[in-house]
Amino acid sequence: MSVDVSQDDGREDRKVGVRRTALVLAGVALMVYAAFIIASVLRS
Amino acid sequence: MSTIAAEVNDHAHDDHGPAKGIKRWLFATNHKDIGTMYLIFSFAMFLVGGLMALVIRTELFQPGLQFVHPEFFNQMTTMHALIMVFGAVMPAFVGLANWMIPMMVGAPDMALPRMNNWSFWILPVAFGILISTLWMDGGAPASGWTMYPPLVLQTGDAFPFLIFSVHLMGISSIMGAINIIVTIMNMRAPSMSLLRMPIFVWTWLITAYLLIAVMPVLAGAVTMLLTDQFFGTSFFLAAGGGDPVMFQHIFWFFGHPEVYIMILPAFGVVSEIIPTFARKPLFGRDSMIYAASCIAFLSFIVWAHHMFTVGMPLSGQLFFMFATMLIAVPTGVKVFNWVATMWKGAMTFETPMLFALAFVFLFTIGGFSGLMLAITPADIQYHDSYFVVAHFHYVLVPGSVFAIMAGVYYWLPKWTGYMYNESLGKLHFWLSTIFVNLTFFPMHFLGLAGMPRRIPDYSTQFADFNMIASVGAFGFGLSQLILIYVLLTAKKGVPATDAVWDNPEGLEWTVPSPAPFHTFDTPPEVLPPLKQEQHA
Repeated sequence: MSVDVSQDDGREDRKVGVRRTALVLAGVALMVYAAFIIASVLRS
Repeated sequence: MSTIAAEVNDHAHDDHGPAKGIKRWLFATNHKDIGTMYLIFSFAMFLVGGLMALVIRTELFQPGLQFVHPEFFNQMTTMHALIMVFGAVMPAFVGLANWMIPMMVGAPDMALPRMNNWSFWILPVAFGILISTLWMDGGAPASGWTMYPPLVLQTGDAFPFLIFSVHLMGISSIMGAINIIVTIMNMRAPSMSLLRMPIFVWTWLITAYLLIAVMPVLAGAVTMLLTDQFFGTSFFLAAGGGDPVMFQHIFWFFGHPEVYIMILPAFGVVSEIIPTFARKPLFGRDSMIYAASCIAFLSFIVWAHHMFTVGMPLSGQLFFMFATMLIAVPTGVKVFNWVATMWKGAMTFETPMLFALAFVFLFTIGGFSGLMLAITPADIQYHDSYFVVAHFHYVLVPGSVFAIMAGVYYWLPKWTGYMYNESLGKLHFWLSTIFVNLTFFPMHFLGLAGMPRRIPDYSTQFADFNMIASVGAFGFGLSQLILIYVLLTAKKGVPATDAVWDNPEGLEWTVPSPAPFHTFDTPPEVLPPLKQEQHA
């Protein structure tokens, strides 16, 4: 199942990039959400 | 092998057009269809929120209580704000982003088309839930869009529905923002470097980062409201050792960047339109990008200027006052750049340009009153007065809303393939501009004279200016009927050329009008030169 690099137009790389960027951003959003609640718990 | 399989699939993809009937919209993954749905939805919400504004202005036409109960009046102010902010302005810019960003960067679609479908379809559910609270025991939320505790905890059955709908709006915004960032970072045409991107794309990139940074903060705040109400916590309840002011800090840590979320894409739209109709490249293009980035950064460190009156140390007051004033610098850079772009340009005044010009002038009025509000001792006088209402409506109506209208008129021929009715567009512009000022300018005087905001009744000395504002509001509302007519007859004009306007800049003008269902299946190899390069 090896990918023929000579015919690869960069779409596979782009797919990986899309997934990676989306996951990082979603992770950041979740961390911000959690951080504010945790900080409020610690403060109250 | 997988490459070959991908190619086979792509050919199948190229061939199919839009699905038929309701399925086209329900299961839409095409960025143009989803952009259209966002724009229609936001316009519907604009009308619903506008009707609520007219209820408010009807009650305030004369002193005394005459049309609605005070409780219902408070529900109207709250719902009007929530619907206009989250249902009208934000989705309208997401609609413009969906339509234009892939075409502007030479991408075939948004990077995550199915998530794009979710981002949109969550919204009607969220607002269906929010609007349904009007018919619940205790009525709709009435504590203002800021949802300050302990007042918001007195909401009736609507409370958990309010929290749920705000969560849904946040999820939709975050998914939309992720999609936009991923599209811009991963799907640009090979030779489209970051600094070559159109300014609208840049401002949206910055806005999307803001959304991801602050929408979870709002979600956290309302989650804690929910647990305070139903699960025995005391985050914001003084009786249980909590701190109601902490909510205000958390809310405005979200709320102030939110203001820029609603204005940065507007800057982008205006930065696209003015060079086209001034027939000159955008003056200080790179400085526009840096200024937008500065504004975004500063938006995180100014939140407490909304709370000068709750009490804070002098050092805190000074910090937030000066940090807020600092925002005038990058904003001034933008305004001067727009003016310099027009300087000695061969200007024409089609409807998009008129709205963009009004934006520059009237948004600046809102900016100046913002600067006045930044001054702590003055703000202690202005706080919670109609001066604040005048300020943020100048920023949001002839600011954000006018920019959206400018964008719609500018790109409408590219969407439909036909020129809209220019005479009616201009009539819509002039009536809107006259009435928007008639509505909101007298509110400055009311505020300075001491009229508080969010009240259904007022002292008789405020009667004249309130009457003028109410007449203006009905005039503005009726003027939007012209826009509805222009949109309904948008496909009855003369066919538009591919470039639509006189030599506009950008990839979106290189595709046919109307833009085909699929554009840039193959990324463009050579980009058209920037006008700056042509002039050099």
